[in-house]
Amino acid sequence: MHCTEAQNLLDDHLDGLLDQPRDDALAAHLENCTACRHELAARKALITRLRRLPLEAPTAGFAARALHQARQKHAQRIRGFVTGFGSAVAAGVVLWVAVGFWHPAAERSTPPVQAITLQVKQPSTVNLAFNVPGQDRYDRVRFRILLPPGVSLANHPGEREIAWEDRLEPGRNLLSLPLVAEQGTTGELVAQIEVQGVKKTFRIPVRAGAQGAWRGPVTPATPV
Amino acid sequence: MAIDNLLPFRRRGVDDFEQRVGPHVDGLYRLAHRLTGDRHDAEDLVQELLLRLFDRRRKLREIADLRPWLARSLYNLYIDTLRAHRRTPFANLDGEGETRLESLPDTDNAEYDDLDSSLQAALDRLNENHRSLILFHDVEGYTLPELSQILAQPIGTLKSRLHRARARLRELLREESVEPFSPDRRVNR
Repeated sequence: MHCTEAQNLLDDHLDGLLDQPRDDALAAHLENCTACRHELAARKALITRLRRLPLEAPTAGFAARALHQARQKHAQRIRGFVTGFGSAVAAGVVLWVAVGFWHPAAERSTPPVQAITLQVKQPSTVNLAFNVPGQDRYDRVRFRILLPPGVSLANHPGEREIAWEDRLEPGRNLLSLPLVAEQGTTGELVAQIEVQGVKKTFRIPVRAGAQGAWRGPVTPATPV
Repeated sequence: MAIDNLLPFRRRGVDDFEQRVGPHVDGLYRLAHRLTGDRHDAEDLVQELLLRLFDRRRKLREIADLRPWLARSLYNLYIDTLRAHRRTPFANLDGEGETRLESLPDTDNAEYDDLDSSLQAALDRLNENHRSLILFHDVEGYTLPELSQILAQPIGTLKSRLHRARARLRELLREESVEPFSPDRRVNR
């Protein structure tokens, strides 16, 4: 083995990447070559020195503080989202309710109404539109819908409460609820949204009677 | 969100973010300090990474080997930060071709001597690819398979680059007439 070949193998030798035959051949060369032995020692010393290169310690308690701040900042951002959600609802642009056919244009063109009105025994679809401002998407959002006594999901008779996890995309997120009133009643549809333990509740008056169901316009829900 | 497609409600499990990531924070800080050369920049980098990771903690549960995955995330964030810095109008105020902003460790530190200063200076003169490779592998002890994940390069390519990076480092040390690593002048601690 020549010195050039030997020195090309030194790094692999130091990193433990040489197979046994080549390692043996290198060892045999080093046995008889002072220059290559010195080169190997110099490279080994350089790597040792690199491993021991000093480093400033972090400020006291950095790891615990950094983890805590990550959690805190995340919670603050979520709270900001939910606060913004409530403010936007107050302005009438985030959660909208429509009964029957729903069209985005209705949000702007129709006057708000004060309640959802259903006709007894007549299934009717209530659309809840959650508008998320900005470009953020929110995963693992917990939704909970509570229906007043006498009103249930049309395809799940007797079901007055549903809860699930889903995500909210930027812009409009539409939830269609097929409802049916079993009897004349007045109450509230309660919609709860929870993100990271921060909860927002909306209450929408519901009336069910023998009169024809109200259809068409949309109403901003009342945030609580 | 049609009602028929609603997912069944699942209670959120206990958040294990801190248990999973916590043990790696010191290592991430070390890496960040090696890359940035400054304690405060390193802490800022790690803090920003943790904030981003917290948003993706569900994804973290799917990662079997967190160490290289976290190192890769940190490195990507560092590169993004570096690029953003270079795009700012003030990025070149220090002068074209000069060494990146680096602050050497506290000179009162008894562990830090002239040879370390020379070695650090030579490291800082390497191009970013070579410097990162040596910092990851030779300084912080990441293996080539780990680096293959971190830098998304084949092991063979990384090995060749590492050899070139070391050769360049030796060359730079020789240029500065620093021969601290010959057997005669080795410092044994």
